[in-house]
Amino acid sequence: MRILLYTCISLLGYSLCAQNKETLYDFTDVPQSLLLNPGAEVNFNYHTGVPFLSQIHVNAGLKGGSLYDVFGDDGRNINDKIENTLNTLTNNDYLTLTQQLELINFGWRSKFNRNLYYSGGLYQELDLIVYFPKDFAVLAYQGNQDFINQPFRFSSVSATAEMLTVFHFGYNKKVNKKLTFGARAKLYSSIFNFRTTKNRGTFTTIETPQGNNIYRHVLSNINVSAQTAGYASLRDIESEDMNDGAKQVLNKFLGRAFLGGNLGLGMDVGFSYKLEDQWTVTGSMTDLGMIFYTKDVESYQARGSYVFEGFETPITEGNGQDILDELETAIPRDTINSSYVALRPLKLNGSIKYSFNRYDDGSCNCFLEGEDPPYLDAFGLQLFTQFRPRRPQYAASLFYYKRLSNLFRAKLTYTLDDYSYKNVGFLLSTHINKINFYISGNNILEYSNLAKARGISVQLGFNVIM
Amino acid sequence: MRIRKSYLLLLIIGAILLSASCVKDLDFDQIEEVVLTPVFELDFIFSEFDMNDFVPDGLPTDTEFDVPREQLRDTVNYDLVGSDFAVDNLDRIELTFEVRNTIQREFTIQFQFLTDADQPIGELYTIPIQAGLGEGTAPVISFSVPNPIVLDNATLNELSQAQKIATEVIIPTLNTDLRGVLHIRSKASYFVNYEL
Repeated sequence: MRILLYTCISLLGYSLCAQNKETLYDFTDVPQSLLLNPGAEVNFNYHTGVPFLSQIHVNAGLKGGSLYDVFGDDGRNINDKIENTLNTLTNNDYLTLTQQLELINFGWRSKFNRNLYYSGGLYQELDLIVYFPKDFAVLAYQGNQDFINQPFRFSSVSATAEMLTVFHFGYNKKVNKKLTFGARAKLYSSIFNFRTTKNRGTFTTIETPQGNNIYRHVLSNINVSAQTAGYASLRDIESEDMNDGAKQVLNKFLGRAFLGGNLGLGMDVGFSYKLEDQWTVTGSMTDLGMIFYTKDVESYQARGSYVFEGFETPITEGNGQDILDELETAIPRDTINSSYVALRPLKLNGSIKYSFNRYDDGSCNCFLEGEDPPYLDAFGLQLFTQFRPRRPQYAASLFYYKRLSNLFRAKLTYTLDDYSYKNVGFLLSTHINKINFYISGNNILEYSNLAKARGISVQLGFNVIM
Repeated sequence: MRIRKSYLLLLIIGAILLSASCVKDLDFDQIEEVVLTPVFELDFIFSEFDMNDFVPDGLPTDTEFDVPREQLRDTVNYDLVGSDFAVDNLDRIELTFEVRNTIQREFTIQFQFLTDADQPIGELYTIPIQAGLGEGTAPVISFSVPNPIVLDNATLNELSQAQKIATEVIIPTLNTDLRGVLHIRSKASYFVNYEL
């Protein structure tokens, strides 16, 4: 219990929230925008990310509460604060954490067809979502005394965790003056996966004035399960020496990262379309795919129903009553090693943009030959959706793009999402000769105190762009 | 020159971001003060004593008889009280007995905690039951005295070796004309006090 709590807290502590990268989306000065929309406009001929440094992304979110709600140093008793927080949270509140590290990223314009741009690379991703299991949190924290005749639902337990590497290769084609289209193929190599998302059944203590006893405790239609892939073999690592154990785990992880794990396939598609010269519409769908978990799979399942009414005395049949034995017979627990398939969390992005203030004083060599000079300013609206086990997450952003100089380009966003109504994000990209550095964060109004923030996303990276 | 300026600006922005982003006003030591105090209500023992099942066959009406004591004694495995969890983390257990009687006799219920070797441990608890008004009448309801029976932490410490619970319904001399039902219902409320 204590360890679990500490782990949750330290995860929150490290994380600076969902996978929305509103600042980077359609920020075409930076090649990583191709990972969000393979059909983004490309205004360069070649790019390569600095290995391991081309994109570092952390995104954490806590819907429904903040660390401050519980751990704030405000003189109130922590137990009162936990109770208050517990009362405000619902089963639809959750904690998310996404971390990505790009290992390699590269791209080049086709020599044979100047309208084609190829890009590829490899990144590692950790993605975690834990829904708040309100019913059982209440049961653990308050007991069932105040909740007689009210069901505690097992469906409130829902979580997924996945660590994987993604190998990707995409192409981007400028079809004509108006339309750019792109697609990217992805090969997923899962390092580990845990999911428990389809739990059913209830536990209810029913008051029975005419029954055998004061209550009936009913476990009704229980069907709970958890799937793991990549866990069983780790458990089997038995080593006295901690260092050696850690090394074995690391070796296993590295093997799986490089296609030794459970494999999956997916794709991204996207487009940019110029309605008129100054209006652009874009859209993308990323991580449309699935992973086939066939290796090192272990699942746990318990199904059945059970009613407990107390100990009957004198016992007329048999000798002795062992409720734990009875329970296990009524709701048997099984460990299964059958394969399963899980969808990747699909993400949809869309935007409409109005550009103005053309850069045409002739001093800029910042665009491809034969193209029009870029606009210095743009504003617009972006929408984001990500599919999650319980229901999709949504976000809408207003943005303003500004090309400050040849060296600096910036984007400011204002986002409404599950976590907050005052999420301001900022991206700054510098282009010094061929070296590009970008840094971006959201919820920057909350930076003065991350503890009160409900979600934060940071990404930064170095590229070489020509 | 221009480039140096940009680096400077970057550096400043970086510094601002780093210094401005911090986690203030949090006190994680408070976790030491977290106490879970749930209250769990669970059924305890239940029993039904129907006169029809106890009147021996072949006896004439209006005849007195006794039920052998061993028929109404029972031992149930109940090791919750004796567990480490109970001793360390239970503030108290409250036992509520509710007995409905329609038999026109007074009864007594006794229960006693036992060790694994069937040695009595702790107090012998007695619940007097009032006489009912006969078959078909509304049952007379008796409760334990005191109601509920509280096993406080000190008592739970004393009962730390308890593994079983022995119950007995003490029955006075009965008459073959008597009819009715004695229905014992009970629950236990576990008051947890769990410090992280």
